[in-house]
Amino acid sequence: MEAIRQYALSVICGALVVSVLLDLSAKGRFQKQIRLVCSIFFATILLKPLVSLKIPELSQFKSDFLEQAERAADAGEKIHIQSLAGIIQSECEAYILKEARAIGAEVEVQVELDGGNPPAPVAVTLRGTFDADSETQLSQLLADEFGIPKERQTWLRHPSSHSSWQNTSMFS
Amino acid sequence: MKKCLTILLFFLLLGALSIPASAQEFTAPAVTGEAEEWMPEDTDSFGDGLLSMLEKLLPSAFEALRHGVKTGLQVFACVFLVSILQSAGCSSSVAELAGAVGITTLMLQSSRSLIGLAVDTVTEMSQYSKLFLPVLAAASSARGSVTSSAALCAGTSIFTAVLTNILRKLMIPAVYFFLAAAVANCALGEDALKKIRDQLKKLSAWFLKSVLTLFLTYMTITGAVTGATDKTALKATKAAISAVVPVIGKNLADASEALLLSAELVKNAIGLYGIFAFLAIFLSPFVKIGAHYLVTKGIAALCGIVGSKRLSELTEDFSSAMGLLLGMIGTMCALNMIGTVCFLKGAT
Repeated sequence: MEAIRQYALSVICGALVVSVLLDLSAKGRFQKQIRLVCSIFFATILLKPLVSLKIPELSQFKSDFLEQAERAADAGEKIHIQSLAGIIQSECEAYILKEARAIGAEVEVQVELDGGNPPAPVAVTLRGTFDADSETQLSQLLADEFGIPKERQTWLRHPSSHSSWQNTSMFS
Repeated sequence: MKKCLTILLFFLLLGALSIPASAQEFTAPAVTGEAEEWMPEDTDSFGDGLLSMLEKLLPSAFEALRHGVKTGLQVFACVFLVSILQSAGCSSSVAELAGAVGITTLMLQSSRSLIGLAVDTVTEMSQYSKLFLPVLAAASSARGSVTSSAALCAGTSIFTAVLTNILRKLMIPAVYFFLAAAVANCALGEDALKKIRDQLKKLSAWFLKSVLTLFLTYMTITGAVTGATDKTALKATKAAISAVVPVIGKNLADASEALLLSAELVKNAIGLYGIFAFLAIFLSPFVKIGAHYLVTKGIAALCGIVGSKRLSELTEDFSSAMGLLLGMIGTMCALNMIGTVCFLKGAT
């Protein structure tokens, strides 16, 4: 507001000076020249705010606005992929659990996904109670249908007489 | 028993179809200050929210109108006094000069406070826009409109920044200069000053219309072009899910569609809140300035009946200055609301 007040004062003072000079030079020899100088002087005062106006330069546009917008869009896209990954993970686990129960294995399933878009299952951890036959069948199913090789399958059997998990992975 | 099992099964299925709540991470920035009291309690429905805001604003509108009428009547009394002095034989130029000084003294105080109010409103909308647009862009991107959200966010941000800069550093001084030219024209009767005054008014109105038209054109074209890109990308993602995710990929289409719908709901809720926020910042100053604008226009018409033409023109000029202020804050609000609506439209 102070800047606006200064501008208004400068315009008023400039107008007063110009009108006094024009009155004094009304019948003089250099009337036209003084008129020209006064016009330039007053135009400078009027257009001074334009000079101080800062329109964001292209580099500032790119750095401030475009990058901020891209950051926001990337954050949203990341959230979308994370949500999608959650759905894919839970659906894969539910399917594997269903197949495991069908062949008589009681397991908890944890599927790991890769970082792609969309994410795909790359590894699986199964822990629970199962026999060797069930393990073989389920392992083959995971390799054939999900493309998860046996090296990336982790089998943790919980035997009834022990309290700790036993890693019975064929390739552990 | 059968009924209980059916109800239990329904709730179990409902739980199985629940979408991860990550979309709820987005929340629109809260409005602060005076604008907070104008926000509706329920921001879910646009119609109800708007009615609620208007109901809250009515008492403020009456108060602003009352204040404007008080100032207007003082101006009318001044003009009436000048016409009495002229009838009593006082010099016309002296009487009109005195009238010009009187009207300026009465109107300047309220004009300065209203100009300050307009500046504050533009600044507040600009600052809220800086907080709000990235959130809306992220919510829109989560819905699948990645390309369009970045383009719309960048476009709205740059237009808002440029307009704020120009309004504060160029147009507000122009309003002051317009008033100075109007007062000087009334006092001195110079044609040159009249032309400057008229040109300023035309230029200001032209500039605001141009900015809005340019912005609308940019957003429409950008939205259409980038929206098509996002639509194609969404289709490609759905196809990729079927191909990349083995066994269950084909069945995930419904789930991914539901995910997009929930993201759409979040985006719409944020967008609607933002529209209400911009309206809350804009409406109160609009009502105050608008009341003075209407009253001054009415008083100018009355002064034209009883007073001199120059004094009536001066009063009209003060009304025009209020009109310019309305145009400025209206353009700023429209710019942000159009930007928000473009986000809500998105890629369908």
